[in-house]
Amino acid sequence: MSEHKFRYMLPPGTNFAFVPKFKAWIWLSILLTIATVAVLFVNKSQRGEFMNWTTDFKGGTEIVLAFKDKATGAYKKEPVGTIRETFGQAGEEGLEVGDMTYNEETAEGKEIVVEGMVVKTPRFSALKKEVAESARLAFEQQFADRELGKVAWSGDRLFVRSKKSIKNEEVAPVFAAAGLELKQWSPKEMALYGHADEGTGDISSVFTAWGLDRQYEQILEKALPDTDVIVVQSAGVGAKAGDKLRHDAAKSIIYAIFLIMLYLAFRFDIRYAPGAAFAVIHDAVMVIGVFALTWTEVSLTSVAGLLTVMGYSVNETVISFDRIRENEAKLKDKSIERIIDISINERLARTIMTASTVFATTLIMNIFGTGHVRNFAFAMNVGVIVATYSSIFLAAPIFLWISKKYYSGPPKHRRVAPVQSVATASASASDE
Amino acid sequence: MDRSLKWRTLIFLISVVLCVGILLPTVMTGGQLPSWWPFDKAIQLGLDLQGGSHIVYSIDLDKAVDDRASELKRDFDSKFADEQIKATVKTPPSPTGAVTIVLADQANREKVLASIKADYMRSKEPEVEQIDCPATEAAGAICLKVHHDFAENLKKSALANAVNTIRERIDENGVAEPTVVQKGDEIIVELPGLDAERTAQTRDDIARAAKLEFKVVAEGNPFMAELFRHVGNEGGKERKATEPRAREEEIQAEIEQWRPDDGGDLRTDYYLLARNKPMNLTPDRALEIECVRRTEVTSRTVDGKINCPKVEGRHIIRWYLQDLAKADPKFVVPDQFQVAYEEIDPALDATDKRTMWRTYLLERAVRLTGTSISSATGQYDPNTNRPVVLIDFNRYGSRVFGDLTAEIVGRKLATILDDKVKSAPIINGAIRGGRASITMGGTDAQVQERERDSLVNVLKTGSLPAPLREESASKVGPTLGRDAIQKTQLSFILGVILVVLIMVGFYRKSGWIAVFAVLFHVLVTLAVMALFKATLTLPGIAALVLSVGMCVDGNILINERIRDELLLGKSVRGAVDLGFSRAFSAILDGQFTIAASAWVLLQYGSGPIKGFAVMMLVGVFTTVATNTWVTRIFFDWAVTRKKNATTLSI
Repeated sequence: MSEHKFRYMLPPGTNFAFVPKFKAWIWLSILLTIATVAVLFVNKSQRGEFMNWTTDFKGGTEIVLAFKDKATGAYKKEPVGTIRETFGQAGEEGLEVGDMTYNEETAEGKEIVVEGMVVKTPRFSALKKEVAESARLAFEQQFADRELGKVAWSGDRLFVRSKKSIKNEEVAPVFAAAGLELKQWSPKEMALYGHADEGTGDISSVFTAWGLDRQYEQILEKALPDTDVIVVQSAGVGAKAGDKLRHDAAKSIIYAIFLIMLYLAFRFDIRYAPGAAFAVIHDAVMVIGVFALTWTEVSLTSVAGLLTVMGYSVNETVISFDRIRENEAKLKDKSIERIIDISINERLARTIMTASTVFATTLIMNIFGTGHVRNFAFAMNVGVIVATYSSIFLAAPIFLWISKKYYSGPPKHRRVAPVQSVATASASASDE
Repeated sequence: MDRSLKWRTLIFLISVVLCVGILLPTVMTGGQLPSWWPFDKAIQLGLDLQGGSHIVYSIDLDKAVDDRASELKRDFDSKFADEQIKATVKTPPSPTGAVTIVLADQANREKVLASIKADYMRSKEPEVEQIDCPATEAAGAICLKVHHDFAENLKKSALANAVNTIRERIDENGVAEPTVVQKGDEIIVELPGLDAERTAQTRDDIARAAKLEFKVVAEGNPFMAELFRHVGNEGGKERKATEPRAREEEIQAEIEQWRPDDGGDLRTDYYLLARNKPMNLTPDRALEIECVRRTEVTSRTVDGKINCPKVEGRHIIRWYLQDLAKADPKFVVPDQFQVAYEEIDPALDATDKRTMWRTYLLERAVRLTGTSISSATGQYDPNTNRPVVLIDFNRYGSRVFGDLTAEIVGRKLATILDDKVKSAPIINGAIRGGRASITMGGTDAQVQERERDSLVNVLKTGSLPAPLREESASKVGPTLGRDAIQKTQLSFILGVILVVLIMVGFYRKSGWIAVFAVLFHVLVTLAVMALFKATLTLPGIAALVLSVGMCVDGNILINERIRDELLLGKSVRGAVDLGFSRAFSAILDGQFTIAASAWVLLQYGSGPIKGFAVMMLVGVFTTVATNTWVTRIFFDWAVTRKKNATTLSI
């Protein structure tokens, strides 16, 4: 027999006793799950949202910017990275910055291509609540004689319904007194808000305060002294992931978990199914919890990250169960607890090897990536840790518990007392 | 060396070459490949990685309110019929959502008002409000309008509905992960950088209202008779109009007659006919038919006119009628009627091959709409062999359709799709059974089929609640940002180096086997994606990262197993054999569970979830194939090369 010179990340022949401490680990999982729910509600009360949703989920404001050289007055192109960094330094979070090319007609009637930029922000309004409210009250007071109907803010825009017309110029001083700057109506808006609605005689008009767009323009102009920043367009946008997508996602994940359980029940046996399902759910909850705790942005890519974690978790659990199943058949004289311990120890080298490989690569993505990529990598970093943990400390204990509670261990693995052997013979035969 | 290994190696090498061949069009863009190259499908990059077109649509939400008014009119009509009150209910074109009731007997006025109040104005959110009648209305008329707040809600839900419909339509078109969001009263659609032809096709489908309506043809109406007399027909072969303006516009006045199958009275109808032709139009009208873009108006105007190469006959007639009505109130279309147009292909033997448009005078009330459709299927008409779309109505739809056809036996029923009359057959008896069909027009079989499939797609996804208009189109860069993509590429390369270091560091030569196996895995996965012309997005890459992780994991499992067996004192060959067979069950079960969940995600998920699932499914198969087959080939080579070796570099 020859000497094998293997390089080990973990030397072989480990014999850690996992099973005796299972109860403590289960409690840890329960506590962490409760903590996650608590963090979600703390976020809701402290920050107003359960998680840091990006525009993908809650919509926001889309601002199209163009850049002109101050010296020549010609359009120029700014690199996306610079703009993103500038916003980042100004403390703006969750922005999506991308190129946008559009056509514009010059005064001479020629069409030119402008290389602008589109910025999506999860913010809806730059206005402080109190300021907006005081401006609204002042507005109502000032124009009480116009038979006002509805006066309400939506983002930076004040929607007004009245019987008599209110001109844009009249509103400017009211806004100014409240510390807001009114945006001039475009000719199109002028035509739109000028006349009464036929039939009811109501006039609907919208007054826009310079808000986010002006704020963003100023941030950029401060950082880019030679550049004239132009706000081409600014408007609230809806969520990319509508109700349907959210509904579909939830439904498909629930079905997937059931299918996994079903598969395990057939390929292994029914005792394995709940452990795997709980482990997957646990891992998803943990990732959500860490995202909520660190207030990391949640985008559609984070959802992809979550799905990836769940896939990794299922694989981890199934491979751990595979060893248990194999050893159950092989080591018939050992107790189920011992079998679980042996199985976990046997596959520990592989687990650590795989986990560290995946963790290391996603950690690099986390460090060097930006934005969405970084969030995905972060989800994976957390996911690898919790999936490795849950396959050992959650899936196995649940399997053990079910085995003992409902099957009191399949007869063939129990240290069989002689009297019972006849009674269990048929059961073990059908188990083969 | 055994022969099976040679064969396996050969197959392996062939598949590597094949995959590289398949991927070449993806890597080498811009027609550098020779034309005889057998593969032309390439992986598309999604919006987040490559960008695409950014199209803004505005939506005519007032139309949704007007439709509600039409429904109200139907309600009132049936109510008055039940209560035997003689009244005319009209839906005047303005203001938006108006319904006007003219009672024959003013004695009923209070009773009618009270019942409308009880039915439509009682609740907290009244559906209608009473407005002052315009001066042109008969005295004592009751003028109503869809309530302002109700209309606002209606518009809001119409907009949300439109966003969903557009998303479904793009999905049906097979475009992966578009962005469809609402922006104020507008809808933004972002399509990943598809090729121009596919983008155009998708854009056509998006903007199609797919509004299907059934309305009754008002044949023999005195208005049309009057119009017929005014335009005149000099007879002869050319059947030119006698009125000078109509003659100049090549508008013809025609008469048609039919006798219903049941032998009822002879029915007579009059209509106008005009052909498509090039015209010089005022900028306003040119814009109206979208023959110029708004930005081009100034540059294309010559002497105050814009040359439009193809003006449809329906516009020619419509403008003619508009001008006529301005000049003489006698020619204003009565409120309860509307003029609609049908496209007619010229007969095969006709000398004039231009497409024609004819008018129908329709009762304005919508009798049945596309919302009553339960399904639509594309088929061929057994008699004419033309492509048709079969429509199955739902229960409500079939009942109404049956009653409607029973009511109008001997008259014509117009099927109107996107404000164009598709057909107007004579109804010879009640049609029960809830099925109708739409025959495709046109002469080119291929065009007909494409049109049919597109129609099935849009009818299936439901009609848009209101017409869309393309406001602007621009190009957007990758939503991730170009800088972010570069950084990600860097991190990918670093990640790969790290995996190589770990695998080779711990498993030495067997580590290299794992590295090459993973490279093969990525190659095959991407080649399969290219064959499907799939769109690659960030979620897809996430799935690829996961499946690469799994593939590495599979190799680790195998290596650990082989080590175990070696430590137990097995021979190298025996250890490799056992290691593979033992690891196989774990790999298979792990991959199978993932395949099962990916399949579920594919069935029920949408957008990015789907993209993830597709990549995951492909990855599962390549992982299993790589781990059990490719890795095995490498190991077999290693074992056979040193036949009597007692150790393995693992």
